Amino acid sequence: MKCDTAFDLMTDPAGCASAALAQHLETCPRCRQMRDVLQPVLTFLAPSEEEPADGHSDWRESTDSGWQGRKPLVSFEAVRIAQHAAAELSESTAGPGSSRRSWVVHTLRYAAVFAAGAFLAASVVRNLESQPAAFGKCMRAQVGRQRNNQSPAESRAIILACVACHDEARKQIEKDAASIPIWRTNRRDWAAPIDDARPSRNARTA
Amino acid sequence: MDLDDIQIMQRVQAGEVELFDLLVRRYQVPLLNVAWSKLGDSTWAEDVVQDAFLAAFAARATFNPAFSFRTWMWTILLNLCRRQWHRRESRPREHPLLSVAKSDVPGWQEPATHDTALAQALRIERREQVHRLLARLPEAEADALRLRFFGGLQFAEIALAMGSSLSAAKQRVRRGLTELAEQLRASGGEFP
Repeated sequence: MKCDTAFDLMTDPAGCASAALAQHLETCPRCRQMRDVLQPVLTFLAPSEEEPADGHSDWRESTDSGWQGRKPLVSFEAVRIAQHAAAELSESTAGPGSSRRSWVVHTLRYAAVFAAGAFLAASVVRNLESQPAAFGKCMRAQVGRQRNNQSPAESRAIILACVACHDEARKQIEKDAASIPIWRTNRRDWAAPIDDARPSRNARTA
Repeated sequence: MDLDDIQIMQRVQAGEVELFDLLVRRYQVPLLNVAWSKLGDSTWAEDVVQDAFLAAFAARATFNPAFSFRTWMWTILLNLCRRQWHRRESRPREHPLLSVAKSDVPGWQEPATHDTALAQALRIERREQVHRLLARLPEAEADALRLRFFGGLQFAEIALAMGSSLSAAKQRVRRGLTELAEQLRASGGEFP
């Protein structure tokens, strides 16, 4: 017997005294410990022997004496609840084929959503890459793969390609492009403002 | 007449509507116990149970032998209790232990066997204690315990009635029992 089945029997007032459960408890210390912990509560919750297990009162007598004067008609909402419960239970208990079909349907739905998202993302990336930059093809995607050792010409090209998308700064960059000191192209601080106090190109190369 | 639930419902669907009384008698007391435990008011509990039976009878055409009548009734009852509770939320909840007379405990009947007044009083007190403790638990765990111990439902039926998985139903019962056991230990072996 598995421990899961043992728990089922332990919490079943009819099954808690079964021989199979007793045998399992003799060999399983974990279930034995659980039984010891839960036993007082299980005793507390178990119906007492004097109480009838089923209702023996007459439905009509209860209706006449106990519920007389209260609303005798069922509400539309209550009927709808009953119908909805029946529909859900029918779907849940339609058999293993139904659950398998539901699993397939759910999987296909998720796959469709994922594929749509991937297609959309790919379209966005393609659009970004296909947008013509003012100074040639946008090299943004390649920036991350650039090594530190790159030629000044390459660095300048990357700088120009990145800023080409900013219309307002484009003209200014065109103007400044030729004056960017060679020494700055070896570093990754392209966005930093140009410090006019830095040594000029001619001074450095000298 | 020894018919199971499905046989009765099939005959009720065929037109023998008077057989529905058998199902009412079979489930009335457990349903009342659970409803009263959830709502804490005997009048509300009786209304809800009556609504549940009438709704099941009115919707008898939707009953499917693939699922059990018992599970269906418990599902209806839990939903109606929830609706009843939301409707009367502004009304102060009647404490089931303080204001209800013993004779008003729903489903309570004169003992079928020879019994003493003391034993009956002890049973009433114990029942009230159980309901009081269940009201302290999270609703899902308390409902799972009510269905398991008052309704006698199997775990698969509890899962269907509560719209959860089988493992979740077992976890709720396990957690509820563990919490009650903790209360017992904390109070030195006596339930508060």
